[in-house]
Amino acid sequence: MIEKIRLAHGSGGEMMASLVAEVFYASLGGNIKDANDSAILDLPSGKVAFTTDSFVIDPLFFPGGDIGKLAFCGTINDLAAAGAQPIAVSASFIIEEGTDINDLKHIAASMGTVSHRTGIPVVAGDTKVVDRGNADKVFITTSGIGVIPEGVDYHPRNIQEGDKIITSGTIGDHGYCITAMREGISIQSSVISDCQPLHELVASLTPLASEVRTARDATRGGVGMVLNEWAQQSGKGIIIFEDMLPIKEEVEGGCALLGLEPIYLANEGKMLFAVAPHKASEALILLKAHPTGENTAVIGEVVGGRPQVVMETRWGTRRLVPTPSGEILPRIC
Amino acid sequence: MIKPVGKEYFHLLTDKLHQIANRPLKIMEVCGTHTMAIGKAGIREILPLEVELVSGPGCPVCVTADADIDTFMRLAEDERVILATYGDMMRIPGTKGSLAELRAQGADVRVVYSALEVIAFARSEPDREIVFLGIGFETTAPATAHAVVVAEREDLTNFSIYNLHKTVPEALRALLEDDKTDIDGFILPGHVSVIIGEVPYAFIAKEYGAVGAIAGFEPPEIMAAILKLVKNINASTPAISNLYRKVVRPEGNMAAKRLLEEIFVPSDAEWRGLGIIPESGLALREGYERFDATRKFNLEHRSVKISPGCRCGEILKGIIRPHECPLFSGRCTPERPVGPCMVSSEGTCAAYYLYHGKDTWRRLF
Repeated sequence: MIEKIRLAHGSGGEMMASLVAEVFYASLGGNIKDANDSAILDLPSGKVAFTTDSFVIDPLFFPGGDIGKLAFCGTINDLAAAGAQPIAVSASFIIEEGTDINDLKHIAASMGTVSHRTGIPVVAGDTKVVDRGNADKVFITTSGIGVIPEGVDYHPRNIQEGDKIITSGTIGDHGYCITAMREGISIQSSVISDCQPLHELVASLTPLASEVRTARDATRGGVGMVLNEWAQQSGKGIIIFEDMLPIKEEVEGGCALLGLEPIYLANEGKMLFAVAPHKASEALILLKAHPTGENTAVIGEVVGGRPQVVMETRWGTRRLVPTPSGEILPRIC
Repeated sequence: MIKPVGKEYFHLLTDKLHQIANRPLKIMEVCGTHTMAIGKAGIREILPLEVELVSGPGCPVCVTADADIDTFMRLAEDERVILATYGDMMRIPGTKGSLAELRAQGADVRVVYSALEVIAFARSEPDREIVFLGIGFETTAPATAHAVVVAEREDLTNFSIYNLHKTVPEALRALLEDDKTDIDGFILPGHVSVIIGEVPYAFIAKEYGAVGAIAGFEPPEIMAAILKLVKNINASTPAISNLYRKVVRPEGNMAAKRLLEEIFVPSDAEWRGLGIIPESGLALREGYERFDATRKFNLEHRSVKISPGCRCGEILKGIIRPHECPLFSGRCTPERPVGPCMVSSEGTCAAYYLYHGKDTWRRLF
């Protein structure tokens, strides 16, 4: 029989202690003996970045990852987008009564795997159990803290006319993978989520200092969302070239079938950069040298005019790329 | 990256169009799928200034009348009923919210991809009344007809349809009859034409001296259709041209047409903004009336106005552009649509909102 989470697992008693030990300490490290109400960290000098994010993805498990890996990488990537090198992460779990403990173990284990691989510890955590129907299986909130190297200042206000827009790889993979699963076309699908940590990739650009104007991971709302935010925040126009966008053929074909646009699909392992034009080729070489950046490509540039995003289509025409609206896919991360 | 086929050809056609367009012309793309394809490829931006491309009534969700919306919403509230329909219908606002909202409140509303799924519900849940909200033009009507055939064969007494199916040619006649529209030519819908063929459009040229071109959905196919229309207008040759011969036969799809004739008979239908258009609906033929949900549930059509201020009607007739509607992008957005034209993924207002920006209609470049 599969063991299920009961309300007693969240009540603070013995059952909770054993759940924490068997599921969380086992995968994420730590032990009850050393536990305290706060983690105490030694931070190197420099500016500190601090971020938090909640994850409610449905389904919990998908090709290329699960909610545990996603919650860890998502927070790492938010730190990375600020140019920070992550120091530590916290993870808080809201669990629905009736959830399989095995599922929870898998989720904690995959979070632990990325934590060990990256050497970024999960230093604090919490679990709450709610009645059946008051949550959907597992929700996770992660927070992260990181330190920004000297000379790095990533913010859209730094964007200047002529800057090149760079993506660290193919776009739309995560959003397409989840949508394909939900629409039941996953059987033939070979596209897996791109869920991966990007802090090392971003760190490879540290030598370029402020020639890298800004970075952002293109999650919900995708590349289209990020570029519109940049246009608004910088007051500059951005043009992207449809035939320079790295999009997997299956993602493109599947999107046509489902009435979706890859530039609005969520990514969980792709970073967008705005880089000074004379450093763009250097940035490209540095990014491509990293395994998570091998499909890095320049996709557009910053131009004058209205603060809006325009696409030069593959037909040589131009059209607006507005901020995504309407049915943005729910619970994609 | 899938490489575009025919980019050079596309520009050749565009250049030709610029050479021959010599006076103001209004061309309507009838079909919502064309509207989206035109927006996505940025075609409006590169047309000669003389050629105005307006969007027509070819999005089934958009042309659904308030009275129908009100009626099927009441049907959804009936506890005996499972209402099944295509996804696009879920977000149309009614007087008491959309079908999606009614479902959240407990109504049994199910999204299906085909009419045959609905038949499966009828088989597996014999104690429930299964009503299919049949919507669409000649493209989806054969699937509904087929479901009726199956229901008849299996004697499924708990299956019925609330019929919103409409036919395209009669709507085009209504547009041509309307003095305010002044349309010079039509880009005719590729998918509908696969079913009905070329013949039903002949009246456009013969009786009204206008032009039409049946077109595919790739940008070069659309541009070729516009070029053909302008050429025929310039030469004063009213004609219907079939530029989508790879899939559209002159006689259409005979099997689908026979099926439609077997199950349906033309009837008057109310179109949003266009009013009642004679012979533009598909009523169940004698012998199949028991599958008609309107009869079965004694549904009365009330005259209601769900979205005052919504100018969908004039937009569907190509008289105004979406940006000229006072609700557009203010009170009416894809997130919170007021009218059906903003709901459907192929709706005119949704397409303009997505590809032309929210502010004012203008050339961007």
